This record gives sequence, structure tokens and C-alpha cells, in this order.
Amino acid sequence: MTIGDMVEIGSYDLHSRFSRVANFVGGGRLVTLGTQALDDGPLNIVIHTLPEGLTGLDVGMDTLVLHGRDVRSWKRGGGTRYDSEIADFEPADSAVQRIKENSAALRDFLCQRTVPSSLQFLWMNEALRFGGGPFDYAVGQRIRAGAQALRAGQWIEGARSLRGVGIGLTPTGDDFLVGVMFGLHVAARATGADAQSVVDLMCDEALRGEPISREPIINAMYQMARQARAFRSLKNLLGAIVLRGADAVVSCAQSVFSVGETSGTDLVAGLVWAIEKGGCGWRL
Amino acid sequence: MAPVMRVKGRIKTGRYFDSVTLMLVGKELRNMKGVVDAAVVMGTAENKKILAAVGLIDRSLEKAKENEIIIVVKVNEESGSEAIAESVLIKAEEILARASIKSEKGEISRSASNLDGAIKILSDANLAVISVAGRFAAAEARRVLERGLHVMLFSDNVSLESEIELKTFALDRGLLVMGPDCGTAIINGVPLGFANAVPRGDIGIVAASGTGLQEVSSIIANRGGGISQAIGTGGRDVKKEVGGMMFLEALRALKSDSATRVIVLVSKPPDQSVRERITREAAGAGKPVVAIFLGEHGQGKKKSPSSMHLCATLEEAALVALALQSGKPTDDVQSYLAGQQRELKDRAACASKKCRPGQKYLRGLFSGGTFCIEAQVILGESSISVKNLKDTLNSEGHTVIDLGEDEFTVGRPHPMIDYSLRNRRIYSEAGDSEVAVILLDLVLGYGAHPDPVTEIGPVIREVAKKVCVVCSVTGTDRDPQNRRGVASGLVDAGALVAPSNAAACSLAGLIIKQLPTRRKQKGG
Repeated sequence: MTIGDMVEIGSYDLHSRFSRVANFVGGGRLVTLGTQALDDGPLNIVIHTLPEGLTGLDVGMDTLVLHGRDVRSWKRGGGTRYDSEIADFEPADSAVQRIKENSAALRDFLCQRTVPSSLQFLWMNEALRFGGGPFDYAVGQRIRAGAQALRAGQWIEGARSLRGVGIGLTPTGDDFLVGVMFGLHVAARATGADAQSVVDLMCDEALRGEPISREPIINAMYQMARQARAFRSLKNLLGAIVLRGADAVVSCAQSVFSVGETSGTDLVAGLVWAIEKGGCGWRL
Repeated sequence: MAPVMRVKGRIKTGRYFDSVTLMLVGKELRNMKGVVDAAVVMGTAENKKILAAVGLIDRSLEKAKENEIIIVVKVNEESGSEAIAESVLIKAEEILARASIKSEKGEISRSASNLDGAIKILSDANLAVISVAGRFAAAEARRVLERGLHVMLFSDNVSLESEIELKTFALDRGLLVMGPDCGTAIINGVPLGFANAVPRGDIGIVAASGTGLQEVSSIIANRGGGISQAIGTGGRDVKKEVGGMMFLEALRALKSDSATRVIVLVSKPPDQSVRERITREAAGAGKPVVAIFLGEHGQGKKKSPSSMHLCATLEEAALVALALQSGKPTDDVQSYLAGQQRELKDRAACASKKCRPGQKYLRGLFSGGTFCIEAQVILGESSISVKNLKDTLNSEGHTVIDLGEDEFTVGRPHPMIDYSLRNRRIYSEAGDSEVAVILLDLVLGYGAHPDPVTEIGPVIREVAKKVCVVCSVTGTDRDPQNRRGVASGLVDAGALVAPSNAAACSLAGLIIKQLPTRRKQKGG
């Protein structure tokens, strides 16, 4: 069993259940429970098998209790704590150069080999991904406009344009924005700049204005991005972008792409987009 | 006067789907008669604004919350009405219900959460198909074997050590392990994985190649034959380390199967020691054994001491098996293939005339790995040197690529299911002024794309103005896609459709050989 370092003590109710993953919500907070098919993550608990008929989860100081058709409990001491903080490193010109090169390799990979329904259209002169009816076209245009605003340094306008846009449980625009925030964190670490204020601005805007708070899953995504806390495959990718070569970056990216149907690729698209933006003089 | 539109929708609560599911449902709705536009989206404020901007929302949908799904359709008031909109919405709910992992309202479903539950539901089952992430697959397979069931292991990324261990364990118990990475089998007439709809018959197949099995079984079916059993083994089985354990076991099973009169073996060249064991096993078969070990030359070896009929192509193997099954001389097959080759030459001569000087290269874009290998073999025999690309994204010279390789399928469906990556590559290759021929395989059957012509037809129609597009279609008229209909659609789009992958490769090679530039070079 692995328990993420942001999992908080409390009682949680079942929010949504997929084949190998169940999301629980309590007090606006999220905990995701899954089998080993689920990546280690700051809010994730990874166990061997996911019981049927789940209804709730209690996270205590020493124990975890799963409620459902059967009640099951674990000693927390039997699990491993997952440290989600992304690596820090010394700012250096060589790191900037490496990040630029790795980002370019990642962009090429993203454009040519990932799910065609991801956000490649931001770089490619071809039809928008959604390609169906007027709604799909409008979504694509909206995402393009938001991404271009971010490129121009219009952080709030970009976040406003992207938040909540897209059709899935985690909308494409939100996945992309979260990727942008991680990209800014990485770029900032390479240059010694401070990305936190920009990330905070975007997070605040992305979570503003809904009549009730946004989906707990989306709240959690922004919470992790704000604090630069990443699930394991993303953490590996960020480390590879900074410290390793293009082959390692592409290899790590493949694991991120397997998150959700398009969430992983959308997130990586945002990551590359932000690093490319930073590439224009490396001033955030 | 602009047509009047009706917008109708509903909100679904307490259900969650990934974006691709919602996108596919939306696409399916848009394709329905009378539907002008449709969307299935989470009810975020921004999505509602966009729906409003494109005239796809009514007042009742504005109250949808961020965690609720909006299903909305726009129909033409003249062509449809309230009833059409309602039927589309019902259809949408049906599709979503199928996609949901929850059983509706606690109804009892025949699904099981673990192996024992599945065995309880189907107590007389003697085979389990396993398709889980590779790292869990071996343990699941072991549990299945321990319960006395045969295994079809669809999963890949199973370690070599685990494969050997599983197969050794299975052999001790007289069980089969088909796989890992076994995509196709037909057992007792039941197609498993990416198989084709073929009739029962008396030709049995053992294959360490999924698309090879599909091609051989389809050609047999298209020419009136049938399949007794088609047993996949996974490509690694014939390597030295695994020692052909299951290939040999399957061969033994077909030898003793009274319903099998002719056996066909399909594989890339096995390890030499495995090859020798196969030869020995086939020698005592007591029935004809036809073998295609792709890349191992067949010519001159038709009757080896073991009496295996060695063939050079998948098509030849299927035709020889049919000849043997019906008691005809196998020489007839050679005559037939020679005649076919003459026809292909004529077609190539005609096709090559439309190419301009400077167009000289062939680009093969395959969805079947075995077809890609067969292309390399056939083109190599025609002295067309196919490059080993360092960067598979950028073609150089004559190129053949297997788009089903892991490097192309990360995070996306296999190209037999999703044509978009290959379509993009077709456009890219056709944009190269030096390309003369694009060579493609289309694989039909269960699990493959249900309507390939709709996906690839418009692309072929466009690029066939500039280059020759040569296709093979693997499948039968009984497949859900209907082979004849698909072939006809491809011809309409401007493709040259060949009767087999081998013939398509030959045709493509012959076109290259007869290009105007080549003639000029020879003449000058």
C-alpha cells in the first residue's frame, strides 16, 4: 500500500467509481483509491485490489477503513508514504538549454505520436481536434484563444478562457492549465525566477466564479499544481526534462500520457506550452 | 428561409465518464438521421456558455451543475420533431449506460469482479481470456491454470521469465497458454480477439502471428474453406528461450484432432532448434502440414524430408492448404499465382503511367506487423531495398513501417481500430514529391474499426490524385465490415485493391519497377 503525502485525516464518501479507481470526497477534499494501475500521487492511496460495493473511506492517524459491502481496514504503518514534491535544483544556463531541448523533443513527440484527439492542433496547422459539430469547433477555438493569451503573458485572461472548457470529467482546458503551472514551476527552477505568484493568480482565476466550488477532482488538480506536488509519472517526467536527455523525457512522457483518456496528453501539452513561453528570453 | 431548429436535452446526475467516451457518444449522435448537431459534456459554466454561443442549449439545461452531464441535440424541425429528438436522447442514454461500469439500479448482471466469480457464472468454461496490464497478467494466468482452464493471454509486457514459467506449468497439466501478446484465435468456432468471421471446416492453424492467422484464415474462408481450430501462441513462443512450447503443443493438438485434415503453421522464422522440433513433430503428423515461416525462402523446399509444404507467402500457404484439403495438386497453386502475377504486372504498367518523373519511392504504412514483414520480404526479393529507419517519424527512400508497434500506440488505440495516425501519415507521405506508391493493409474482423472506408476513404480519394495507393483487405464477407463492400469503397476512392497482402506488395513493387524515371535511366 502507498499513501500520498497530501492525504488528510477524515471521512470521505464515494464520489465516482471506475474500473480500477474510486474517488472519495469529504469536506471538499479528494482522495483517490486505486489498484496498482493507479500511479502513486499526493492524494492517492494504492492498494492491491479494489473491493466491490464501496461507499466510503475513513482515513485515521493509524488506520484506513473502507466501507462497502464488506468493511476492510489497514494499518497505515504497513504502507509507504509517497513524497510528491518535485525536485529542486540549482539554476544554471546549462539547465535552461537542456530544458529547451527536451521541451522541443517532447513537443515533437506530442504532435506526432500521441492521441490525435489531444491538443496537437495548438502547434500544428490542421483541423481542431474535436472536428465534429459547431460546439466542438467552438471548444477548440476557445482553447486556442486561451493558450495564446498565456503565451502573451496574459495569465488571468488565459486561465479564464481555459477553465472548465472541454467535455470530460476533467475538462481539457483545466488539464492544460495544470500542465502550464507545472511548466512554470520547472522553468522557474531553471532560472531562479519566482513562478509562484503567477501560478497563484491562475489557480485563483481557474477556481473563481462557480456558484458552488468546482468539482473536487478539479480542485485537487489545481491544489497539487499550486503546491508543485505531482503524481509519480509526472514527477519523473519533470525530473527528466531538467536532468536527463530527450530519450528519457519521451519514455517518462509515455507514462503520463496513460493518465485518463486525454488528460495526460493535455497536461503535457500545457507543460510544453509554458516552457516554450519561458523560452522567449526566460523571463517569467 | 432558414430551417427551423429544435434543441432538446437532458441532464444526467451521478455519472462520470472520460472525455473520449463523451466525445464518441457525441459523434455517434451527430451521425444520426435528422441530427444537425449534438454534444455530451460536463455542465461546467464555460461549457454552458459555449453551448449557448452555438445555439445548443435551452433554459432547462442552464441549471446543470459542473458535476452533471448535459446531453443535448439539435434537430431540423422540418425533417424531425419532438419524437426524433427524444429518440436521439434515449439512444444517448443507452450508449452511456453501456459505457458505465455501474449496473443500473442494482440490477443483477453477469459480470464478475474476480476469477472465482467468473468461474461461478460459467462453471463449464474451459478457457479464460486475460487482458489486464502486463505486470498483473502473469499472476492472473497462473491462477487460471491452477483452476484447470486454458489461457488466452491478450496482454503484452509479460516478462520472458514469466512466459516460460507459465508455459512450463501449463504443459505439465496438459493446458494451452496462447500468448502473451496473442491477439487472435478461433477456438471451436468462437472468434477470440481480432479474429474474422470464418466458417467451421477442416483446416487447422497454429500461428505465432496474429495478422498472419487472420490473413490465412480469411483467404481460406473466401475460397470456400473453413477452419477447425486456429490457435495463437504469441510471437515469442518460437524463440529459443521459450522453445516453441505452445507452438508444438498446439501442433500436437491439431494432429490428434479428427476434425482437422490439414494443418497450417504460421510464424516468423523460428529459432533453429525450435524449427527442427517443429519439423520432427510435423513429420509424424499423419496429415498434410503447410508452413509459412516468413522470410525463410520457400522456393525449392516445397517437399522437405518432413513433408512439410513450405510456402513463401501467407496467401500461398492458404491456397496450398485449400488444395491439399480438396485433394488437388499443389502445382495448381503455383499456376494460379503465376497468372495472378501477370495480371498484377499489367495493372502496375497502367498505374505507373500516371506517375511523374521524380516520383520514385514506395511507402508502406501497415497496421499488421506480419504484413509489414511480408512486405519487406517480397520487396527485398524484387530488389527494392527498404531502409531501416533511425527515426520512424521521417521516411527515407523506400520505407515500410508497422504502425502497430508500441512506439506508435502509446496512449492510443491500435491502428486497426483508430485510423487517424495512419491517415495523417498518408497525407504526409503523399506530400513528398518523390513518393510514387503508398502501400496499405486494411484488417477487418471483430475488434477492428467497424467502418474503415468512412475513415480512410476520403484520405485515399485525396492522395490518389498524386500517388498510387495500393491496398490489401484482410477479412471476409461475413465480417461485420463486409470485405466486398470495403474493397469496393476503396476502389471507388481511387485505390488499387489486391487480393492479398502478398499481392498488394507485389503490385506496389511492380509499379516502382515500371516508373517513368526508371525506364529513362535504363534507356539512357
